[in-house]
Amino acid sequence: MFISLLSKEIRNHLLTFRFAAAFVTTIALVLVSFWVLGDDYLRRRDAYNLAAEETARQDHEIYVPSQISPTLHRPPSKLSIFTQGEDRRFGNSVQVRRWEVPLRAEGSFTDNMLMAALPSLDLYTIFAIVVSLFGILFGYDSISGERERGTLKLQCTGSVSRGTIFLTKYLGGLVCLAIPLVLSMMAGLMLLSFFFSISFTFEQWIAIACIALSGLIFIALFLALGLTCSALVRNSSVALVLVLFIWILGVLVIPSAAQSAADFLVPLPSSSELTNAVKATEREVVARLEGFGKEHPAYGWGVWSSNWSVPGTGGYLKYDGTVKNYRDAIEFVRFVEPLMSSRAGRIWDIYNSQHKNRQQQAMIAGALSLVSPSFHLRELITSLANTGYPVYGNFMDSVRRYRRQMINDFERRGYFSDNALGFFCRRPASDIDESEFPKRYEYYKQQVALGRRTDEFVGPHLWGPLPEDHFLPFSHSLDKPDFAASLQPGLFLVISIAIVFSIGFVAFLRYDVR
Amino acid sequence: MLKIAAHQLKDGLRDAKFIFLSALIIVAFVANGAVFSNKYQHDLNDYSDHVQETGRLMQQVCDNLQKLALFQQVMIQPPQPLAFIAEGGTTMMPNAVELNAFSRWGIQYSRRSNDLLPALPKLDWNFIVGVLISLLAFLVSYGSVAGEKKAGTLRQVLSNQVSKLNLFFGKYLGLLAVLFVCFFIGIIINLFVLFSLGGLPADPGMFQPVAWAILLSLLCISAFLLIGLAVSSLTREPAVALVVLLVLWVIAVFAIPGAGRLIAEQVVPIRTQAEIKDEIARILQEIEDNAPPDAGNWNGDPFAPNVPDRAKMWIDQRAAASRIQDDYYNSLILQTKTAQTLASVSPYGLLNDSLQMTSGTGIYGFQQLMRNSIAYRQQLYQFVVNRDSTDNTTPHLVYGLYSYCDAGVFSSKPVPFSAVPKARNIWNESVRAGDSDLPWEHLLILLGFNLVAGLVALVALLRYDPR
Repeated sequence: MFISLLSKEIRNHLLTFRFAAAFVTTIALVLVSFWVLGDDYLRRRDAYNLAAEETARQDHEIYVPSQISPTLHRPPSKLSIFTQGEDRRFGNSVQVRRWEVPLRAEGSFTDNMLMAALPSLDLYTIFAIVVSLFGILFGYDSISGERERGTLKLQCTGSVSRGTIFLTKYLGGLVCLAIPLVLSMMAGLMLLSFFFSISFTFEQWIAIACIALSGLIFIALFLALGLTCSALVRNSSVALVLVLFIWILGVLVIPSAAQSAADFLVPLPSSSELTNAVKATEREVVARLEGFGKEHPAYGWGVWSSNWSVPGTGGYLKYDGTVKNYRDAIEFVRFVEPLMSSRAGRIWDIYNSQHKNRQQQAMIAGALSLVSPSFHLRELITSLANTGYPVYGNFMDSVRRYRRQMINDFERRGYFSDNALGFFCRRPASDIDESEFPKRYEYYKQQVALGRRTDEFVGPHLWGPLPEDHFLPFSHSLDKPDFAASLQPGLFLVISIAIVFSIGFVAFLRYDVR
Repeated sequence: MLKIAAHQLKDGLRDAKFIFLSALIIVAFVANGAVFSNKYQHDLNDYSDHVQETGRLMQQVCDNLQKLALFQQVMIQPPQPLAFIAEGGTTMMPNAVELNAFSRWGIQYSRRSNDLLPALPKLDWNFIVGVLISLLAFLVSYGSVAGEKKAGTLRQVLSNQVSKLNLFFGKYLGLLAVLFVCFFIGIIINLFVLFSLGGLPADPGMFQPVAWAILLSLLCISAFLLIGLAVSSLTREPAVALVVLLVLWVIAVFAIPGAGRLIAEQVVPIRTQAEIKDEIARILQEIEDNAPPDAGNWNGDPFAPNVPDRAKMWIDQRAAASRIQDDYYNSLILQTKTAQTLASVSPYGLLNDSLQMTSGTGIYGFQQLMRNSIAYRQQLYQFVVNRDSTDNTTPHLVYGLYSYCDAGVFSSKPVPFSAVPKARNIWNESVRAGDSDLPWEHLLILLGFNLVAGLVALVALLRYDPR
């Protein structure tokens, strides 16, 4: 009985215009989206490979340890084909410098920062907006509409229990909505593998399956909502308005409004606060450098006003090529290295304290969006595709860890900021024979007098490239779905389906079919 | 005709869908006023703090023209009071340029924004009109012909000596009035909230863009309504009309703008920042290689014979670098505008673009930032040249490189702070000069949308079989 009722429901749905519309719209949108985003992913991947190669090439042109300052790149996430999330909003490249804690990644490979706020047509948008609307359309008139047509009365007078009728209505709608979703996903995946030759790992396949499943869960929620509203009111047009009202609120308005409300509740510090704090720190550093210069007048000190770009010390010595000059320089290095590290640490602290504020705001916005299903869907899909903010935050964390390792390695080998000496070297300060300094200074003067640039006579001509082990490998496993993070939003959606469905079920049991 | 319209209006206002959705829309308008007032006040404070701080630092370097020329300042775009009409992604866009008299560095972000929050549409007029009211327009119109046919009332009306033409205009005007009631109540409350919370300055200059925004919104609402009527007259079942309209709505509001961006990325390629960096480095090297060999030398004498060559080399380098940089920014602007133009296939996209244009936000605001920062750097440079020309002790070679310049090549005498060009004056001037284009084209296209949808609806109704 149950099966025959269910197949009747399915047959009824399949013959409707709305099924045809859902079918065509979903398949067309998913194909367009996969096509464009697949192409986009390939372009970004190529740009990433190019950038990584370029960095590796540049690494081989480094001859002195103090010049090691590799650029680390964040690869585009392959699953961003399914949901772009925040993957493209953030920068992809960070240059790691000893005297600077990286705060944010700069420059993405292909991206236009002016379009950051424009919507993107990805699976998230298709699920959240298009497919959920069809869920509503399939549900809103299945009870009140049948009452209006008089067919409900006929159904309920038979021997079938109302619970079964409600369940078959729900499952029938769900099966019919699942058909276009599953077919379009399959067609899209075929498109990706045949036209773009994009392949996925086993784990990514599971993530893709989970993404499709989350789409289905989202449909199930809105179908249940449509059905429930239909069972709560007597008139199908009222049911439609009610469910659309909830849809607009839950999908479109609440997440946006929650952000604004969070902004209201937890105001962010103004951006000039960070710049001013940084500037104050830098002024202090300059003052300390100037103080050092005053204490050591014999050095012939000068301080450049604002040459803070890396790895500038802000100060320079006047070289005369004597051994005393070399000792002075070493003393300066001993002074300047801790100063610059503390400067980097302090700027990081200022940034970090502001970051906590931002995290707090994001948390409040999240808490206010708890009633919004699209918020959970976004969390769910972006954690499955790993294209949410965490993918960027984790990348930045691993970049900072890398920098720490790089500094430890540098210090372990006893290297120092030789550029402050006015010449480069590749040995620990303790290994350098003081008498080398005058000789080197003579060599330098000769070469300059010959009109050669520094990069032509230091480096390869003296030592050859640095050994490989001086470049630490940067490993990060970012292109992996985060299943653990997807559990909570998934659970939220499932629980809301259960709640909405039960309300509808109870309402239908009490429904007056006349 | 008027009777039908009045009847429609009365019916519409009592309708459940109208009451539900218009309540939501009015709440959205109130929220818009509160949110944007709060934000504008914050931004205004930050901006005036910044202007003050920049002025203070600038005053310190006025004792020396060379220091003033090298003084690096961040030119921030003043907060845009009309962002409540169309925010246009402004909070995600760069809004500052660091510059001195010789160079403009890259663009910067200098505002309170939280990276951790996903980019969602803001509750601006564009959203309320384009997303909410457009949906309401479809909901009030989908049953107006097909539904009446089904209920049998259409036949009754038509047998009552009412011509189909009258019926069409009656329905159109009545439903339009329903939507306008909702819209006008919303914006009146909205503007009231904005005024009372200080989100909208009491400036007569604000009148024109707000009036334009209202006009464009009305046309957009009317276009959606006519599309609704057309679909309703083209179908025989209200359920089918509803499905068609919801699909159209999704396509117009979400699919087309989303696709517009993706297509623009394909058809207007932009270069990567790394490429730009490489090209600048290459050009600078090229200019250096082509310059006379002693142009690179500086022996401390500003009157040395090689200094004019040196000046020319540096000035050429600066010009070339900023040309490449500006070309890059222009390509970004072009890509974004292409995305918005492609999205204008839908009335929603058209409304979005035109509202950004009238309120000077979004990409139009960024364009203005670029224009004004170029103009301001030129002003500063010209100022330095003019001041230097009154100093007879220098060779009058005004050049510099980022934060460095050769001592003595141009004047280092003090200058009065009041005479130095200020960034904020440029903004004031550009506002006074009415530096924003009016969206006449958009207006015409919106009218065209109305006309086409209206004609389709009219013809469909004239041929409609009421049985």
